[in-house]
Amino acid sequence: MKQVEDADILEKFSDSKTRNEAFNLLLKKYQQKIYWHIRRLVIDHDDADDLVQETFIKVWNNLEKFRSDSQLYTWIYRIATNESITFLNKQKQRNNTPLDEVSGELEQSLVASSYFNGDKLQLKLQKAILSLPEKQRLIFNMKYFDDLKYEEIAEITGTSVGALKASFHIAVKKIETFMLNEDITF
Amino acid sequence: MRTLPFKPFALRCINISEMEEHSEHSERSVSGTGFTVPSGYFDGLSHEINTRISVERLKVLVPQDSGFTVPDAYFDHLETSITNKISQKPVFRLWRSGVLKYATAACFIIIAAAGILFFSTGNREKIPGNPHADIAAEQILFDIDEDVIMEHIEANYKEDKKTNTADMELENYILNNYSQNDLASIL
Repeated sequence: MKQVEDADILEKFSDSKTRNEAFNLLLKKYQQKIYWHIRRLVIDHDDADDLVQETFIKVWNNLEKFRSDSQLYTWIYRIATNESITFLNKQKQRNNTPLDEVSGELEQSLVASSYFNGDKLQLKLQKAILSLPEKQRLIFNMKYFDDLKYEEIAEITGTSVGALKASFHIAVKKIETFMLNEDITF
Repeated sequence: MRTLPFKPFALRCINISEMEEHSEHSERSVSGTGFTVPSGYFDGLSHEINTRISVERLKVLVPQDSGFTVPDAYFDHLETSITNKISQKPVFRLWRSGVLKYATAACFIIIAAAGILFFSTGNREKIPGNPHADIAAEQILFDIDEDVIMEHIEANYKEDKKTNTADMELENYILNNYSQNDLASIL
């Protein structure tokens, strides 16, 4: 099935008669991508479910103001990323967790989750990703799993392409080292 | 000679120093052909190739699926949940932003200050009011017996006089018993 173009969604959304139809098309096109993006950041399914709904409610409320100087999906990704980071920061404050122990909490959530059925290698990779600082984790996920271009990630995170390349390189090297140092041969 | 540390790919290992050397030659060779590259392109190229090889190897080693799952038919219901939430009447959250909170507080202060000012000046000045209320007040005075009004005025005058007498006695006592120096030091 051919995916609907962003331009068509925006055009339909600008007309009050086809607004709901446009939003349903947008949901169909992006809900899974955005869910997985959030899920990989917050780990827990219930948290991801809340955040993906919040994200799309914000999209609905602000889509009218959306200017086409950026791409629609990078704009939605940016909203989802901000929602997730705000959530993680609130969680840190609420639990009074030091920065270096956040990954430990997320790792516990990953192990305890009933919605993770990855094998030993997948679990190890997720643990390796969780050992990264928040920004490197974000960049790694968007590049590795979503296969976004550096220019797109730059638009989402507001970071220069050069800095993103450096961060991704460091993140990959850390993950490589993590995998090498564990009992699984890399 | 530095090589990438990948055991399964040992035969295809990459000599980084050779690659860097090659990239330098490439930069020189393109300069005469009219082709150009972004500034600093070759500086990061080896790093970028190195990173991409690591990523490709990681993707071969670990299945691309991240291992996370969702409840059955989750995505079928997600769209409905979102559209239901959107169709609900939006709840107006007061003081959602810090600016609005302080603006509201400022408005309360201004209203309270204006109220105090209004009532404090209102006691001293007669504010032109409702003509019907004035007529009603006059009618009440007209209905009261003249003698009652006179008695009331006399009683008030006496009370004022008493207060004035008491004040004068106190003033005289202070002047008689305290010198100017004493008063200055007390004040």
